[in-house]
Amino acid sequence: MKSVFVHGSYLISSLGFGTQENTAKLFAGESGSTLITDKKYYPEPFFGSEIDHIRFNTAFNTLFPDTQNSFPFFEQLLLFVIQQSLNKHPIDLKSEETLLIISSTKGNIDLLAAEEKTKWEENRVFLWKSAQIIQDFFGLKNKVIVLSNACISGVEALGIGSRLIREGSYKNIIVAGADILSEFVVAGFQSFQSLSPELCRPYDEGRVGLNLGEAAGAIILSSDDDTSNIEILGSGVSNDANHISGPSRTGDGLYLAIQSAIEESVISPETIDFISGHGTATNYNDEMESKAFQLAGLENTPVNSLKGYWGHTLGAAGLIESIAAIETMKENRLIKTLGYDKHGVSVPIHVIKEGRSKTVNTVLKTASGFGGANAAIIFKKNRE
Amino acid sequence: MISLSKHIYFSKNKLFSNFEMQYNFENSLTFAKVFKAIYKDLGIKYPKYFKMDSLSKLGFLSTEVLLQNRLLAEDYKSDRIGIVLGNSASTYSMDLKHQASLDDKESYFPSPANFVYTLPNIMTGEICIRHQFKGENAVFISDGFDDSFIYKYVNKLLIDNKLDACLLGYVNIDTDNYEAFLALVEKKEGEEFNQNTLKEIHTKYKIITNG
Repeated sequence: MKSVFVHGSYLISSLGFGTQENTAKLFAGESGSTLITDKKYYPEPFFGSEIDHIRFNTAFNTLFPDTQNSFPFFEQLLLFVIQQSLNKHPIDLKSEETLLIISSTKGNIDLLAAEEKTKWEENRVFLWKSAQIIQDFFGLKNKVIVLSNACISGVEALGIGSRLIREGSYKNIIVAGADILSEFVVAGFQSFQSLSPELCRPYDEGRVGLNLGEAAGAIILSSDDDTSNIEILGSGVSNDANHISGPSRTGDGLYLAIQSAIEESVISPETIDFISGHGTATNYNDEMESKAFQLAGLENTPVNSLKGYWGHTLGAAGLIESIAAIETMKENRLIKTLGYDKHGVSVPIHVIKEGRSKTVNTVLKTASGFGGANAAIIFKKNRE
Repeated sequence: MISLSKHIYFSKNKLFSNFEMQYNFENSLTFAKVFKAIYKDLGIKYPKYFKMDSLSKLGFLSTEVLLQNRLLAEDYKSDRIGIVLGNSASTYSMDLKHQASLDDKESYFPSPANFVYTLPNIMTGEICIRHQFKGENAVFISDGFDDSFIYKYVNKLLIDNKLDACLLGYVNIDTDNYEAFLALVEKKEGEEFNQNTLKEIHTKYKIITNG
């Protein structure tokens, strides 16, 4: 069995471009969410997190000149973050030992809108098509794997990647994920009445819903430990088997995923220094998470949610939040839960209210989503 | 050992279980009529079925036939049973329906009941609820059934001791065509689960369905 090391990463969110720029703003407690009035997303203003599209266009054209018109925005984001993550940790993309896993809930879904429909072939809306195009662009040998398991996709994709590296099937795996703001998704969540009219407030008493965001991230996993001090020890996925759109009331489903990850990692819960939670700021999700952390004996472990910084970015969320968790380990510095003020979940879990220094060697990252799915993954720092 | 204990195939209005034909409807019938007839014939009483989109209905009915008279959650702990499926078109029909409710700004009326069915893993979620599967679950999107990856990943989950039993296969429906191929693998003695067997069974089904 091989070990799985985390190497280069890159992300784009409403906070900015690159791991460094994003991390600096997270540590500074700056939010990228704002009132969005662009009617292409929704007829009325809504609070959300949008990438700076003008800046992105320029950056994309610089990185890949004269190609922009060939790709819809979602694919551009993936191409960009994959290429940038390689700058930090170059790997042989054309090797048979390299695999790309993409995590996304809705991919090019914006192409279904009437004004976009005529610009692209009908099958461009399918995720397998985007995957083929990205595979061809980079000349990847292995068929690109696409995971679409709602909001746990990012965390689960990292788990899948680490499982395949541990087995020895591949030497390097790029796990990349993206989801974009679209009328399709914004109007859908509005119809569910799950969007907050202001900045979301994870685990807070006054939380009334989530903020949607768009983001893309990429993490390189490798069996090669040359430069990395961060390892993935284990992961687990579960299903509540209870309700398709509401989380379990007891937290038992997420607890199963956490247990599964802890057992595989061969660690005891007390060694976990920090939990990067899902914390969407919906009433039921945050309450469920608090119960699951208690069941797992983690109610005193510091936990944060980053949804107040870049919104809920669906299939990208687990990836970009894992990148932030990795930076937390490297910097030994906890990021505060923006939007959290008065404790609002029934279990007295330790929500991080103020950023501070803390030695962080072992991290649990969790996610939960529609379809009743939960995922957990454990990162370990081997040396400073 | 890991064995493949049962498989079903449902496409072009024909449904086979372990290569035996169980249903054979006229080609001219719509899939909606065929699904309804099978639901009735199976004698299921499950009101939630009628709220599902066509992808969830297809996955649900196929699983009912696969597990007929078998309560898997009595043989294994719930959290040791998983489901890993391939899919191609995601929830395309429902996506079009949800989008249509947004395109006409005069009658702008997105429905939460539709929106929730615009994720392919709602199908696996519905199956998990019905049969109390609480273990590993995933939906992978590829152009057709990727036997090589689905085999590799499910086998790994069983070897890594995440699961004792797993439902796997490919469930896909676009606006006109549908295909469901499901297999049950378990940690017990029986027909060996390997990639070639999986590929051969799927290929054979495709041939007999087209023939």
